[in-house]
Amino acid sequence: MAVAILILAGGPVEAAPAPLPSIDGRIAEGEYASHYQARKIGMELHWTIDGEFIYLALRAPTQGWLAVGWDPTGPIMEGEDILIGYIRGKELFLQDYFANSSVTHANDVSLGGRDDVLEASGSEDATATTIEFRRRLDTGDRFDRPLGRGAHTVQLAYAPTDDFVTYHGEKRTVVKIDFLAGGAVETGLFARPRSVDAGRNPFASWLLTVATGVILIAGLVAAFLLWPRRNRNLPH
Amino acid sequence: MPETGRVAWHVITAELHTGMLTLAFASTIIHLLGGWITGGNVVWRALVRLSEPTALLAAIGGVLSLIGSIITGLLYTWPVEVLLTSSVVLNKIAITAFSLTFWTAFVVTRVIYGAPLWSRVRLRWLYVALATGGFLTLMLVGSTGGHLAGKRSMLDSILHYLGINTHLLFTLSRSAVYVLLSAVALLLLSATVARVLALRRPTPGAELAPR
Repeated sequence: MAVAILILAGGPVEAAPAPLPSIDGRIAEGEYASHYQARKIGMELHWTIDGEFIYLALRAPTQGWLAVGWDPTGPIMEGEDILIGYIRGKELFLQDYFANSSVTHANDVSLGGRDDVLEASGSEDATATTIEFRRRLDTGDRFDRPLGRGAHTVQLAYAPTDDFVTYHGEKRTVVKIDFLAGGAVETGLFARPRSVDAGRNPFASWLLTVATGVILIAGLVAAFLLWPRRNRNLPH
Repeated sequence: MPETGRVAWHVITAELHTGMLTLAFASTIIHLLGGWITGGNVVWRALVRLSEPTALLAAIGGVLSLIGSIITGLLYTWPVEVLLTSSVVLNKIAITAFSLTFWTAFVVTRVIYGAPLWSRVRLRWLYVALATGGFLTLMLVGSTGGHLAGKRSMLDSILHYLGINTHLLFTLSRSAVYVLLSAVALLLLSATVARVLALRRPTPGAELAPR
């Protein structure tokens, strides 16, 4: 089943024995056992699994941040395990993040978890940024998602600025990857926001709540001002 | 790192309204204290005297820049599709609407009744209450804005202690909405009737007539 997941819209995926990658900030030809190329956004993801560890490499045509995340519970990226980094000068800033809402993420450490990147390196030139790192398949951190057998929902994204917050805009893609079997299938932006009128109509309830709050404040003020009462002038 | 691109407009207007409305709140509190602490040196007396017009001007500027912040936030931050489906963003929009209502009521009250409102106990406390409500909701807006920027807020521990989670969409049940709206309507009707009756039986010095 997992093997049946193969390339559709993305680039070629290879699954072949390879020596362990060196975390040196450069991706050599054939260095990684598998890779996926998101052609729509021009981003590459390479990986090799060695026992309980996974070596991951990202490359994107940007001088800003790039990120990989997997297994959101949704909507959008909520609950996703994220590794995000950028190069400033010669220094790599890579952090272990967790998507604590559909559109926000926070450093695992700030949430009470750990930074589980074991080693990392990166490089940047005029055309692209490359980041390599190693971590455990299952870190045991409650803000990380274990990578096991079967397809994982993987999101790749990048942006042109050196920070952890600038919105990626269109430079984002979603792909199903079986890291152990080496297969990938691009799913498009399936992880769309929940429809505003879906289910129990949360958007309409929210709109009604906002209107009620505004009317409540304005109404109480108006009633207070209208209500006749004897004036008690005070010297001021 | 400085913000670049059009999102910078949202950052500018957000900083602007936060600064101006904080100044309006501080000026209001200073003027309130000035009513009790009547002594003091010349600097304090000047501060109390200037705080009254400062509160009004800062509130007007703050309301205008808050409206600007709403517009730039909707246009220049994230796609509308994302904005309107994120519980954090929706909560922020809701609290912003409440803050805007408080500050608009603050400005309207001051414009209608003028500076003499400070000599009327009821109006004075209403004025201070509106500034306080506006400032507290403004703090909540800033806190959720911090979360959206991927940062923590100084209010986090307080909100956690109070059991408030700004990441969960806050909505009222339909029955609660109907009860609240009916109560407000009833209150307004009662106030209007009471006002009309009071106007038919005028007594010297009984009315809080607008300027």
